[in-house]
Amino acid sequence: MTLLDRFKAYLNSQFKLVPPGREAAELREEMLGNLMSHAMELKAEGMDDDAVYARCIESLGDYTEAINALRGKPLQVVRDPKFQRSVLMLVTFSLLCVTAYILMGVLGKLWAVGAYTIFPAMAIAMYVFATAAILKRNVRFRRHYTTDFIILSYGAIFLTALFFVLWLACGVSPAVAWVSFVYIPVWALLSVIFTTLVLRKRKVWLIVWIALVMMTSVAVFLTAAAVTGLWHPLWIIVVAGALACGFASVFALNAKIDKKAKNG
Amino acid sequence: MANSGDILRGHTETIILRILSEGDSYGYEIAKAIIDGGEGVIDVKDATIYTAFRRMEEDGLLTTYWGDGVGGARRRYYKITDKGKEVYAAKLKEWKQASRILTKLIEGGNL
Repeated sequence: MTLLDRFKAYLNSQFKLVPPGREAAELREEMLGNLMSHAMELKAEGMDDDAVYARCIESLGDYTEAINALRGKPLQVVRDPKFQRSVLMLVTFSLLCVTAYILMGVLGKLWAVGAYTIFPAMAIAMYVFATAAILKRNVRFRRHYTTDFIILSYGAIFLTALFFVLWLACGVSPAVAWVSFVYIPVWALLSVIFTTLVLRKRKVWLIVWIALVMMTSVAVFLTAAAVTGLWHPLWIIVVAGALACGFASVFALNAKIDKKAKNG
Repeated sequence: MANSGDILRGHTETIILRILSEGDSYGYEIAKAIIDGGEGVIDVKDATIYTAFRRMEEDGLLTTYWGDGVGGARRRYYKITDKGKEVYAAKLKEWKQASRILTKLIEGGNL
């Protein structure tokens, strides 16, 4: 591990509870720049990496006050003009929707149609707006704590809508159309794998393996049950997959704790 | 012997302004300049300098920009503003007066 990586890991631990933001990113980068400048000088004097690392961290001093100040920043987001403009846009949009609903009711006597169309459309538009803003922020700061949940939510909404379209618009029996719900957990696992492998800087392989094992057990269960018609007791395959993931997680986390304890 | 905190107290910003009046610089370089000039008596941590930077930036005494660094990390440079130069001149005048009076009071004699 290079000194740069070690300093980055140290700063990650210091900033773990700091919400992403421009000020936090700049402080972090400034600290890294100072650490590396100091480290390069000590290296030129012939000091070994471990000694350089210890000396540089010691010279940083106590940044607790500055870091704690950043931890309180989410409350200050309300002072951000961008945030204030977004809130005003949402309020204006809601007012326009209510006005359109009243006009449809008063002028066209379409109170029921208005209620069924305008308000769901308003809710969808607001959800899309909010999630797009969160995703933009996640991509900008390369922090994807919420990305997989957002991808999952869109999949779940789509598959639920698909169920109703198949049932009500296409005349498919609900006993068959319900299969669309089975794909919600499959979609959830795919979104976890996607964000872990493609978006997250730190790859947590345990999550990927758990997702793969769960997907495989669900796929085996569905296939075997569909072929044999034995939905019961074949559901035990999914439970076995979940148990295997649980035990594997305990062993993997225990090994991680051991490794941490050994490294002090 | 007073510790480095006692010696620096109240003067950190003036010292930073003096260093920056000679040219733009970054956190570690400024901390090093203070330690090197402190004849082994003064030790200052990056965090102390950082706290002073933020206060001074808010007061309009400094501006910042990003420049090249070493080892794959950028440096954040600080530049003194016109207001910073005026504040430094005023602080220097105050210091010279205080220093003259304290020398007279501590060492005795007429100056």
